[in-house]
Amino acid sequence: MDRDELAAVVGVNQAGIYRYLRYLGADRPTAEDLVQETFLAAFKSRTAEQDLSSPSAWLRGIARNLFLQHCRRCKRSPVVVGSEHLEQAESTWQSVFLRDGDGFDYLEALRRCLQDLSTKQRDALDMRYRDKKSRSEMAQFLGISEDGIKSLLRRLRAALAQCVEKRLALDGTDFSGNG
Amino acid sequence: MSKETERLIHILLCEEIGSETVPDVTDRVLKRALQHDRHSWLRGVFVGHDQSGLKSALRGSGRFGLRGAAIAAVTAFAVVCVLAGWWTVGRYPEPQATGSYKLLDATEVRRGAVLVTEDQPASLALGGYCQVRLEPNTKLRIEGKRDAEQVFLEKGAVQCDVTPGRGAFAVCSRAGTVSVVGTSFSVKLLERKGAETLGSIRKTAWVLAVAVTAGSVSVEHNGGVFNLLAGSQQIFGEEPATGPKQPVPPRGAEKVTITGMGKALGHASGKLDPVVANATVTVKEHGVEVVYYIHGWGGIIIAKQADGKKVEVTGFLGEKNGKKTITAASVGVKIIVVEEEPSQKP
Repeated sequence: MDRDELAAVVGVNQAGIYRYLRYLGADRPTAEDLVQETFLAAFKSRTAEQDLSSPSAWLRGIARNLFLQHCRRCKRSPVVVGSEHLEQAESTWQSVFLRDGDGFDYLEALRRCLQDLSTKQRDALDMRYRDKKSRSEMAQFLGISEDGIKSLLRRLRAALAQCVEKRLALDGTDFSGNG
Repeated sequence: MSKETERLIHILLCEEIGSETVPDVTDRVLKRALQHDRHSWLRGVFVGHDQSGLKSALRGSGRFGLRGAAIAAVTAFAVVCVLAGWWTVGRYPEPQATGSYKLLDATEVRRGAVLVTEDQPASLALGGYCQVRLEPNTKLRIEGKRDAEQVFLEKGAVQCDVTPGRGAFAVCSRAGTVSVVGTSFSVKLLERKGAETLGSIRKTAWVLAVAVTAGSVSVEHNGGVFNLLAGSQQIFGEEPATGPKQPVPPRGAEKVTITGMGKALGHASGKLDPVVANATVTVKEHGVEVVYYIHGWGGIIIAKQADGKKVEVTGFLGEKNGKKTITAASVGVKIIVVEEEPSQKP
């Protein structure tokens, strides 16, 4: 793996590895650090026979192990993970997010589904994810309890997941906007 | 919906709505990868056994455009190592002298050269494991060979430090040889001129003073071998330098001290036979007079000292041509004049 190859591998896969680490439970700084460590570990352990044409699974394995080591080192980590937990997460990642390739289809489907949300639903998501308001702030603004906010967000995420599933099931990669 | 799926949606929403940007770590990864390659290369070169690191470093660095430099550096380093190894291991150190000294019979410090000090001391390094300090007014010749360094002390005194386990070392002199394996000691050769005169022969006595600071030394003197331990010091010999060698006592001979009447057998004529005694000691044993012929250097002296006197003689008991003999011990035949007996003079 030379400089250009390494740069290419990092460029293509860093977003996916970062997303994967965040999905596993890493916070943003940790995920950012572990992304670097993942590629470095891959670089150190590379062999001449290493197939770099599709390194995502290999890189995810490295990232998963690094994250597990990180959690074990940080006993006060808010995320309690174990090898079984990570295996289940990996299974879901492959069967749900990557089932049609590299996750691009899933992301596109999600974007479409977000456009289908009602204004009230979208405002709730914007407050939570764009404005990064706490549940109490959202509860005060929307006039419902914090548990209500928690349930609302959970329902919205479930609805989006169902929407994505339906879109992917209906027309696969056809995201012409007619779905 | 499973927790994993919900978390997946949550993360994707953080990106899509929260604009959580994925950091570009490309430059940082490349920088650290390059550092790792350099470390691997160094580790591979210096540690040696990390061949995978070296290979990977070469492989990686090569495509980074550093292969040529890396190969050249490794080659250069290997050459330096070989040269250094040859220089330090294969090349035996030549004698080196420092301080104030003069060279006789040579233009450089080497084996066979004679070093002379006057009023200042000098130091001589031999084989990388012997440090010899030449005291003022000392004269020595560099002898020996690889791993068996040796100097011949002709005059003066030396102080020696020998690193254990590296090789042998000996200080030779006309009065004896001090040899060691690893120790610290000093040797002083004393010259006593004109102690005795006999006819036209002027005798010179040589005395070897050995003091051991650390370890032990073996002193070979007059055919005998003496071991001296740390802290001990001893003076060896007092023989004329121009005379023949002292006879070696028979192996296993009994060392005795007898008291009897001394008698000179000859006179100084310049033609001495040191083995045949020049003196006898007559001892009465069980009412019978037994004559002991004294062998060894100093016979004339002994004769002169013993003639007509009651003397005490210490030496090794032996027999030659049917005659009882007393051969000089390693420190010489020791004769003590017990008392003057003028009436016994011939």
